[in-house]
Amino acid sequence: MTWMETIQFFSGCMPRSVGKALAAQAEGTVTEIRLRAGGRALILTQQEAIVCSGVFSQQQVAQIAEALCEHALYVRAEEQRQGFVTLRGGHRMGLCGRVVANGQSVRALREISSLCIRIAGQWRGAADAILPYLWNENGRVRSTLIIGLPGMGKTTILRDACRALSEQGVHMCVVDERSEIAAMCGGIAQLDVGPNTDVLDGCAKEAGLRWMLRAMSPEVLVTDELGSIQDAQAVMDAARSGVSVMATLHGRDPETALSRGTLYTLVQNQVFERYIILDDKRVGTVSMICDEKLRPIGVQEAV
Amino acid sequence: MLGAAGALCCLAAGTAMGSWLKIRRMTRLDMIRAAMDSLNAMRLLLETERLPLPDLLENSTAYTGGGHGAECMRRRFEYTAQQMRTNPLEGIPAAYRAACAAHAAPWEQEEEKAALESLFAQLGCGTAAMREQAAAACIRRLKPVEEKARAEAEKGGKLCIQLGMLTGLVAGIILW
Repeated sequence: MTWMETIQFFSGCMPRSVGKALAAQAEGTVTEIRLRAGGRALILTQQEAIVCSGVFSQQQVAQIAEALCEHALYVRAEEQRQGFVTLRGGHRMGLCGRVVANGQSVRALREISSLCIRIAGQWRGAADAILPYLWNENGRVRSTLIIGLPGMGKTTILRDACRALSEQGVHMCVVDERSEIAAMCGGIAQLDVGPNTDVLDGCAKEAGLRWMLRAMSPEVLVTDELGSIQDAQAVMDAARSGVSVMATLHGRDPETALSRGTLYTLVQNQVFERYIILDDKRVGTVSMICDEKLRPIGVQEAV
Repeated sequence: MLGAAGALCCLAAGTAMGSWLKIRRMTRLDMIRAAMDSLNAMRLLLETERLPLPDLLENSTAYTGGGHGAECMRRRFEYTAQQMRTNPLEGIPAAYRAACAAHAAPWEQEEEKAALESLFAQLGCGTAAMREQAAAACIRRLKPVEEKARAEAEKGGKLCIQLGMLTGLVAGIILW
């Protein structure tokens, strides 16, 4: 999806004032769009925050959410329960509203009142700094985990690493559970993941990783956001079968990430050979590269 | 006055009028049946596929029968889908109203009109299960309408032709 197509898509689904403000922005500068019932739309760029005219009602916010999902919000209940849905082009729309709960679990989201749309970007070269660390001495791609805070560029770097390795002839297989890595639409990846990449779209990691191993004989498996112990288990199973795995994980630094069971299990089992830690202030910047035991081996500056 | 040729013309005109009335009733029946077929397909698609609403509408019409009425219903569903894509903020009830205006059906009556409008009002909200329920409710509402329309088309249609022919014959004899 080109920048023009992205702007056309968003403008068509939003009131004119927001569409105009979006169209006035330079290519690739918009990072977020925020809408709130009873408030004005906010467009965040890399330099400034632009406040658009017009106050939204709750119904309007819900209508915009529905339009952005191309009238498919109702079939994405599972994603809604996690708080966000992925839009065409791989953009992520966070949702807020009234939660229908069943004890501690979320059953549904009603009366959508706030939207936070994070614009996915194709940033060619985002992974250049980490690429030398991805190959081992036998010419095999190392299993790698990218750790960083939300919005710091984990998926962008993962996607670019996938593209770069794919261009070098490595057979990459992407399990794109939330359609954020490749943003498949009509069987075609909207974001460049390389010429030698197969994508399994919308499939849960556990089933997807097994599927890819069985069906596509991959050299490297790529997946986004390991969250649960089940995810970690699925990655371990894949790694044990001799295939390299590249994935991402939420976390500020190795210490805080280790306090989550997912990473602890992965480190204990030495599933990953490289850990890429992203800076928590500068987007797309690698602050540390660690070995299989999470010991620092290198630091890269701005990508 | 008109002679034998004129009388024959009157007979033909009367018969044609009767046939037109019958065809109109058959077209209405086709349209109701097409709507019911589409809704049955829609229910299946709602259960099995994760389709956005415009795609759901388009795919639902794949199994409708032939005929002018069915074609009109198919076009309405497709127009609604297209309208939702071009004006995504408009909502499905408004898109369907626009489709009805673009593909008007003079033979359509209040009963089926009300059933379909209420379906399109419910189709835009709630979970997949609730939407499936809305389609099922619309089918239930359309079933007696379809039976009535079928009776009207079969029995009433024959009667229309006979009455048209008779009227033409009487007019022909009077005006001979």
